[in-house]
Amino acid sequence: MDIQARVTGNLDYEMNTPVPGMQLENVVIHANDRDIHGILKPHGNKKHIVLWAGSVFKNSKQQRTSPIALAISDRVASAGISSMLLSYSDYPAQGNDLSRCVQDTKYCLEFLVNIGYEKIILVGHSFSGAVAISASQSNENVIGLITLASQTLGAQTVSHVAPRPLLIIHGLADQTLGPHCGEQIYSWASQPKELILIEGATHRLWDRRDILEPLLVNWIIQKLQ
Amino acid sequence: MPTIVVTPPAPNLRMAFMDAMEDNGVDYDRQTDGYWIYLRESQTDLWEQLVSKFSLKIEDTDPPVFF
Repeated sequence: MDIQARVTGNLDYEMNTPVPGMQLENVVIHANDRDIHGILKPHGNKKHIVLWAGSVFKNSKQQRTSPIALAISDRVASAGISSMLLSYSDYPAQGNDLSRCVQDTKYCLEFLVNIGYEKIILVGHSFSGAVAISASQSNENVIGLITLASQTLGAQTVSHVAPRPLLIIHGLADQTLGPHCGEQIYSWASQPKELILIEGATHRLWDRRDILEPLLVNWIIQKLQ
Repeated sequence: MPTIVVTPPAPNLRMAFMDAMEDNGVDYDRQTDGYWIYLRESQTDLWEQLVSKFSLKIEDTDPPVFF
């Protein structure tokens, strides 16, 4: 088992490649008051990466990973774009503690910049949409933002994402957070912004993978070119 | 300054509808029951054009506001 430990600024981190040769690394970021886990999937030599906030749900008994994050990570890898799937610290004990999850994401952004990534697209689904909006504002390496079926609570500052491009995606069949949430976030945002409402998509969105997957892949590759 | 509540236009028109509102300086808010439009007196003619362009269905005018 190959473990590398380095010191980067205020953060220590470990990268653990469980299977030699696999392009998948478990990362632990040691911040002052917490440990943050993630899966880093480095690809190519480009310094471009997609950060999927809150896409790994981990506790002592199980780990679940967003199927959207996994699939899109594989697809953009062919364009030399890396991906990082972030698990919030102490999930689910901290539950939906917005400010804590925003800080986790900020730590992760700092980590990615410290190891050499220069252009980052930040993606958040549901609760994490609001997390991504807040976390993106203090980091100039974030060059674009995608919210998927985002909640509105915590998203009111979305106008500060501009002038970076913003893509808002919501399902028209979302019964958890109705499509009016995506529209409301769009109304608060400044240009450049884009709203895509997907027919037949529920809160998971993945039930319309046929639309969602090419949409995300094309947008990410275009913005990171 | 009337407040008008309209049913959301067709999904494929909603982004263009909101852009048109912003471009023309019409204040609005997306609520669960539709779009709330806060119209100025000088925007009456403009509003008629937007209603026609986006085939808007007006649900209510000057609805009661609860605080």
